[in-house]
Amino acid sequence: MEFVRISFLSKEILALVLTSCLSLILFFSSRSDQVVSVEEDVSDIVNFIMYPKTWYKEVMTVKEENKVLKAMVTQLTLLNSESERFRNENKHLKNMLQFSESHPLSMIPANVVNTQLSFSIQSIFIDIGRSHGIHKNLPIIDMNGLIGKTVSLGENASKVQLITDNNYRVSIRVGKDRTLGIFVPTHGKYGVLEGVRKSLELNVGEIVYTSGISNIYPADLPVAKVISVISDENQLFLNVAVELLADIDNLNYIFVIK
Amino acid sequence: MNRILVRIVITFLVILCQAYFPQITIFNTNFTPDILLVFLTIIAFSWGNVQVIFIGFIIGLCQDFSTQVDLLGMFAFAKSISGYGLLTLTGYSKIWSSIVRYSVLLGIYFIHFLIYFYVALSNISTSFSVIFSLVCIQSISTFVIFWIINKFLFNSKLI
Repeated sequence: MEFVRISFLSKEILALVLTSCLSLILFFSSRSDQVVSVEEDVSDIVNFIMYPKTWYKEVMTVKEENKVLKAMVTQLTLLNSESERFRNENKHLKNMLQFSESHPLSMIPANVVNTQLSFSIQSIFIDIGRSHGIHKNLPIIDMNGLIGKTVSLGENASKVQLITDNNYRVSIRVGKDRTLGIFVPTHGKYGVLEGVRKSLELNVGEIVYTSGISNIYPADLPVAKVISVISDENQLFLNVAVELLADIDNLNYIFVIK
Repeated sequence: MNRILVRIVITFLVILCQAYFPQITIFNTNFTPDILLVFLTIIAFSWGNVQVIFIGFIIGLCQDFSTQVDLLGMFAFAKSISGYGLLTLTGYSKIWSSIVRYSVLLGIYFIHFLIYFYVALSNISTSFSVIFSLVCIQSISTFVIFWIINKFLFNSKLI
């Protein structure tokens, strides 16, 4: 095996390195003020020399950290969004709970799972059915007012005919005298009251309630509020336009009244 | 064997001489010319081999023990560096003129004392100009001693 002679490693340099190392070991083994001061200076010099490497390392670290932080930001945004959804849901459910307590009716809460699957009627599907003790023709309300009634049942789901369906009719009472009438939907969340006698003093903003005459709806469920009252001499009854109280366009949680 | 013994005795005497050399006061500052450095220079120019570096190290170590123990290794380091510088300088004896070699020698002394004063005064806030002045005075005084010895004892044969 041949040994390659390295020209710059002469005896003199080796001797210098050896003696310098020994001297420095002896020197830095002391803890005097001067040695500490020299150590500090050496640290500064090393730090200055190593600065480009440190800088490069820091830049690379920052790049990596940035990637990780971006991923974390995305995750946290999703979490935040989920938390916000839970917060709203919680708020909504709390309101529902208060509403449920203020109405001494037997109510079963349910979630709306789908809307407008039927072509024949305006309807929604809810996630409770026969197994939950639900049967046909039970009134459905949300926190604001009447929504509709159950029309067909499955084991764990039910179909609800909405109050906005053209074939839907509800017997109502309105005004101070609690005059009878019939709610008839017209379009969207609007409808009219039929059969309201002319002698009734009716004001805009008054609330229309279920009459309780029907076998389906208990009395005094809020249905709609009056938005216009017109008395026509050529007609027997008042022309009363109403707006539904229930938030038909944004149904999430509802109650089935047993 | 006798030759080695003589050298050891001479070295011991020089160390003693260094230890008991009277201090010279210049500008209210006490100086002691570095006799050991002069001795190392003489050895370097007389022998001209790698042993000079090791001798420089040993002399420096002895000086550390005899003058201050807190900074053990400082003179050993400075003398090792000086030994290497002096050894390198001997290689240029037939290339450079005596003035250049004297200048380089002064430079080596300067580095030696710069190391010493930088370390010795590092714990107190001393301006660089003060350190520079001290280093210059010490270097020149040592250089003058060497010049005198070379001129009158060695008849200018060393440089």
